[in-house]
Amino acid sequence: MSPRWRKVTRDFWQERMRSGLVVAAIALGIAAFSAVLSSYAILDRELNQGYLATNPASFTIRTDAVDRELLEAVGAQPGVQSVEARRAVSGRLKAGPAQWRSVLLFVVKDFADIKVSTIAPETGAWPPGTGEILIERDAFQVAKTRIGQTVTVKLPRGEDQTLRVSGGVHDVGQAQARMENVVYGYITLQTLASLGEEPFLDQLKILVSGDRFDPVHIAEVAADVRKLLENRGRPVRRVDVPDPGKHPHADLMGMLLLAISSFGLLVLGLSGVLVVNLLTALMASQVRQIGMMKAIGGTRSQIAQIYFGQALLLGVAAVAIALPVGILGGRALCLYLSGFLNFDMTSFAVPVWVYLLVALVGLVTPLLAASYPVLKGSGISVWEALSDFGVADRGFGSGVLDRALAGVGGVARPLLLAIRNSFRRRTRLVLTLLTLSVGGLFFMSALNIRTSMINTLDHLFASRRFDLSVSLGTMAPLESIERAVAKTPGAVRSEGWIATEGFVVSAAGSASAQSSGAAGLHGGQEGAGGGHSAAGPAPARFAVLGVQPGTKLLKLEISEGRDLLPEDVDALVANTALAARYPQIRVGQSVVLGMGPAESTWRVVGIAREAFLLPWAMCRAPTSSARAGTCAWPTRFGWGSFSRTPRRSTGFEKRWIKTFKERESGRFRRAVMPRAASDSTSTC
Amino acid sequence: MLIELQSLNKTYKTEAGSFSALRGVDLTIGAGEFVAVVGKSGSGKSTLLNLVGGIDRPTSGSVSVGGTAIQGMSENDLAIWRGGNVGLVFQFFQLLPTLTVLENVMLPMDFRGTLPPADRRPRALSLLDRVGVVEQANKLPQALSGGQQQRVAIARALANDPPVILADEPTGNLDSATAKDVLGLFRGLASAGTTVIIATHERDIASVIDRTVHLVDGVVVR
Repeated sequence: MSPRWRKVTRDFWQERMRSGLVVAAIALGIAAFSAVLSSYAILDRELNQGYLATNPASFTIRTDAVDRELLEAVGAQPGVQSVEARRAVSGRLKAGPAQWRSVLLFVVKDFADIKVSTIAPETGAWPPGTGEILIERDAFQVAKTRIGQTVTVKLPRGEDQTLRVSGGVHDVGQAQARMENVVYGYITLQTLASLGEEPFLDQLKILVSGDRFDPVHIAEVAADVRKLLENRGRPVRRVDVPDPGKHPHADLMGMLLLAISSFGLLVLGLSGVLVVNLLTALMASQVRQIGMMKAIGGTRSQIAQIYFGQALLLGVAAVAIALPVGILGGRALCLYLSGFLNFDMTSFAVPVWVYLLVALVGLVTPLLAASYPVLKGSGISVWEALSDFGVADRGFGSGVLDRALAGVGGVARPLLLAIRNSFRRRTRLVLTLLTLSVGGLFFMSALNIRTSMINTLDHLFASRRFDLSVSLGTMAPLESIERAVAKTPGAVRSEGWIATEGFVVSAAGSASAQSSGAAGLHGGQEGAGGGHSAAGPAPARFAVLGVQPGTKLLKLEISEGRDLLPEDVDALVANTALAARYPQIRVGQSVVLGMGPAESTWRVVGIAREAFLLPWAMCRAPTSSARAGTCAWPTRFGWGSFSRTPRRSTGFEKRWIKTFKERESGRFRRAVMPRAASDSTSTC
Repeated sequence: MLIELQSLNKTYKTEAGSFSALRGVDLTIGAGEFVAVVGKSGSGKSTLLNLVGGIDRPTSGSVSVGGTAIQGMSENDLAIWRGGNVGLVFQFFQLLPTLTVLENVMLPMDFRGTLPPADRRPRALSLLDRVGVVEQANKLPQALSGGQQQRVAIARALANDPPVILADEPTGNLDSATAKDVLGLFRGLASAGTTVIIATHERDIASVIDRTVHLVDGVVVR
């Protein structure tokens, strides 16, 4: 090894304290960067592989009862590789001794022959017998049950029935049950019948042949199947086409990783500033040596090589520490996120490109950070260096600021010394302030985001001036519900609302086909499977809420236009998400909405500012005197009764629900307390 | 003539005003001469050596060393030129603390790259032997006495076999016996054909030097 490179290694060791700090700073950034990068690479592969291994349906068609003949006809359709009939039924499941949870029951005809959107048995018995239920592995905690125990299930048309939990399954296509606060159950047609529902299947889950990832091809096959059904006189209620090959939660994972990677990059940037600062100090301490090396024949590039070599050594040390730490961190992150998104990790193998990229970033970062101090330091003249003027160019006292500081008086000398010394090495001062500022900036940003989120949620909940909403399974006269509410002690005010789904009809009369999910009032997504409506075959649907004139329980924050007035008949208020999606939804314009089989024209009078929620709109509920007959409201959600109680405990609200249910058990579907929990709505 | 200075002026501009370190210096020094530049502190001795060694630039006038006018050369060209033509020795030795004695001597050869890498170590050892510190070759400078460090600095100055050695107060930090030894080394080098110029306060150097240049307030008086 030449003396030059010996100097590199020995200086590194001699300045081990300072070198250690630089290495730690770079290693921190690289570790965060590699953890995020490796977890992204692993999760992207694992999520898609795990999801694709289930043969996810290319699209799902909802119709009425599917029979063998229809199944065979669809199966013989060109472009269809596999077709399977399913059904999803919403209901309630009693979790624990007295708590009811929402349950989504997936009905499968033959568990031994699932070809599309497969589920994997994990524990207990398989397949479930009549009177038995399989529960998604993550839903056991929501259901508060174990294999071998029994749960009580109630569907809208049936009575409370007891089912035995016979096993646990893994359904990659479902969201984490704990996050959704929903129990996913899997039953047979016979069990469905025992729950009081007619034993038929109404969904066709179809896997296309050919290119499974070509959305155009899928849309064409979906259109053909739709035509086939319509030709056979079968209604097509909805066509759901998910993004081909993409896990329903891939975007969520991407968002999470984006947030984490942003912080990783910020840490890397911060460590870069720290490296600049430390290397500037290092160069300042080496000025005499630089001068001497130049004096004995060292050129600028030869001297710069020595210090760049030192920076490279810092990078190598940092990468050597950070890479294993980052990869381990990435594994931990993968485990956490795979649990969060409900899929299994089969391999933690990190692609080679991740190692290469991390090594490249780890080596280039200190070189980039060192470039300014090294080039400045190595460019110093021999005379300057040996005169010990250093890289500061000139001594204190030559500038206007120095002279101004020299004029400062009236404070203790030690303080004066501290103040003037602070401005002696200005580059170092700027870098130090920059480091502290950037660190403070990140810290404050995190705090601001947290506060902003809380404030936004507070605003959101403040617009919902009720403590409890109760959804009914079937339509009911408003008067009877109001009587039932009035007879249930504790409610101060209640209003009956209608919630339904709508879609925008374009000027030409065709439905605007954009992807969207049907949103409830609280931004939740209704329907099974988590897919979204098809592009092309079905319009994007959104929630439409019909409220009573002059509602007191829903006061939205209007950002443009105005709120609904009691005298409004055909006025519509859209939230910002809906207005952002459709250019025709602007204050003062009219929009044609399809709701149920009818279409009607509405005047957009206001836009409500709402964060986090899916698109939805609010209008006046139809009455006999207002727009009667102009729109047909489907009964899917029935009447919604919203009650306001004085501020009391959640326990009180639960007791209220129990009393109300005793009176209206036939119609009760579910109750939601938007403010019962700080982080999610509570469902009973 | 090996070294020729003509109408050399050097003025430093400071916050307190301009300061003339050298004023109209004309000087010629022949090959193999051992010249002592003497004078009080601030008389311009170090400035004169800096200008001859291309460490500093004159405000006006010319510096020619071995027929090369160096006053117009760039910093990088000066570094390359120094590496092959000038050996520098300083009062405080200026050895690199993290390199061994041997490596310090090898460093100028490494920068200049004239000798093949395999030949550098033997040459460095031979130079250390010549100045009498070869047994210290693998020690760090910190482990050596002042006199030993100055001998190493001389060996380093000789690494690329330059025709000129410039030594700024080489004995200023040494005891008298050691100073005598160091001056003896310089005498030997000059006798072997190397031009040696030292800036010094030493009074008893007449016996070892060939010529004295007296500087008073930046002017050569004799």
